[in-house]
Amino acid sequence: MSRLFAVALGILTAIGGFVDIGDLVASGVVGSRFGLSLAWATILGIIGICVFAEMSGRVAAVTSRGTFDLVRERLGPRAGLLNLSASALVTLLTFAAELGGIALAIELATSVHYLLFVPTVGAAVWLIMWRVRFSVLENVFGLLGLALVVFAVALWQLGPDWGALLNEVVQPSLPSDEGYPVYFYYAIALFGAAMTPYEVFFFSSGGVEERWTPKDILTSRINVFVGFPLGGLLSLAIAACAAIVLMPQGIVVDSLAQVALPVVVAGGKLALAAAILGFVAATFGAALETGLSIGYSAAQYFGWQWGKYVRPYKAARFHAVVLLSTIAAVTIVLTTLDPIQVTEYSIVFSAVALPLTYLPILLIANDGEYMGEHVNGRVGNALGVTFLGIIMVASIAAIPLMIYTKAGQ
Amino acid sequence: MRARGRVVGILAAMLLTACVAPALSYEGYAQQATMTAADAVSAARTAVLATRTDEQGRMTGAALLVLVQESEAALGTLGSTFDSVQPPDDGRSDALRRELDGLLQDAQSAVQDLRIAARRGDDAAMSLAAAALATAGDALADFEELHQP
Repeated sequence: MSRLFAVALGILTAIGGFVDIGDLVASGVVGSRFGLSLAWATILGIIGICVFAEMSGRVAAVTSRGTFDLVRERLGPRAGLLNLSASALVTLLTFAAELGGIALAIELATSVHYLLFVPTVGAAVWLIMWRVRFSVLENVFGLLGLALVVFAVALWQLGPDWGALLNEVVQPSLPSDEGYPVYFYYAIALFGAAMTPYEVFFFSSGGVEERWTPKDILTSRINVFVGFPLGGLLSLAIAACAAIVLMPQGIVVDSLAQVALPVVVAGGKLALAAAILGFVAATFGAALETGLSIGYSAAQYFGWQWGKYVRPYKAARFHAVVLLSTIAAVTIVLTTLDPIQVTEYSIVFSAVALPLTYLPILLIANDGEYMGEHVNGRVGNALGVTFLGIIMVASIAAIPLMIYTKAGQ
Repeated sequence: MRARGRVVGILAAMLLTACVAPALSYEGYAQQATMTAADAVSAARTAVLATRTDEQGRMTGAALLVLVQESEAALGTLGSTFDSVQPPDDGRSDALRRELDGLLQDAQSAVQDLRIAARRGDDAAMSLAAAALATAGDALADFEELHQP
């Protein structure tokens, strides 16, 4: 495979794999309630995930070790265990939300109640995590996720006033019927949806799975700095479609089907089919990432053999954790908790857990003993520290705002 | 210990956001009523938009059914949740409750008719039900605007 093809594949996979159920729901809700006046939060989140994904990819390429392995060594076992507990809990909630998302997408295609699909979906996700090669599962679902480009196409077909849309982005204002607490609650939700912890664990562990070396740092950077922002544009397109079609009618998104409605209005049945394919691919891919991330985190912290680059019997405890977390996630969905509500809670709690995820990465990427000549430069550090500050603010404000606004009501 | 505290905190936050508080004043009750009306408008107009899109041949039957059924479930939940709120002891609150209950029942009846027609593939009945639901949605929107605190 030529280098150019590998880079192109990496970018396309990053675009298609960027959006998950959290981005779908958060972008749909925010677009239908606030238009594009919260686009700045999505853009901030995209920049933030680029900064930290680049760092974690560089750490993996230089050290050939996973994040939690280094976190335990660098910060000590107690801090590492706190980090692991919080991250695993949030990632498990996200895993459940993704499984629910897959089932909801299939329901949209079949009109059969989503709960009936959940056990089969869980089994399929686990089987793929267990048996399918890492590169195949990463690339296939990433490429299929490109079907979500239908939202960008729909946006163009809806023929919006582009000047007015751009004005909303660059000069955000609060809608007259909304308050600042709800506005900033959803800002944190969008930020948390873009910077979910599992993405970093998966990205860095994936680097070890694919045996990255320092020579792969450039490819990793291109994938992150080109692929993630383009993927983030899909989130903005979803919000814009909701703003144009749903907001004028007073329709507020609270289901996955409503997220697809603007696409259907613009492009008909073919567009709906593409949207459903995109939903399934995005949520399935994210389910694989979250399920594997829980396994990576636990195995790396406890020092067990982990990864799909060894035969399953050699990483039995890693695969056992993945299986148990799949069962737990399926169980959460089968309690009939609304997957959309689970999604909304998971992205807010992701925001709470962000400092625990990103502070260790910043410390390790700054540590010359681990990173050698590839240690953070001034720009990297400046950005990392700035975003750590933003993350701290979001983390502290998330729960009080959630309680005060009753989760955005 | 810290991790356990964090879990307790998360569960408490989830419970607190799910609580329905009793209304202590007419203003508080009116606010809950207008929020309910706004959510009902959203549910009603989702089903209407889906049906109009289907009339243009742009919607699949499965997706239409999902959207209509979701709207029906949402309207049912809104009605029962609002009815569970104890109104303050005054005539204005009782009148408000009766007015909104009537509007919600109109919307629920229309969306049920729409769901039945959609399942039967009866385009004419769907069109009539969607028109009734649109009217109910507009009435709920007027109620929301009139009673905004």
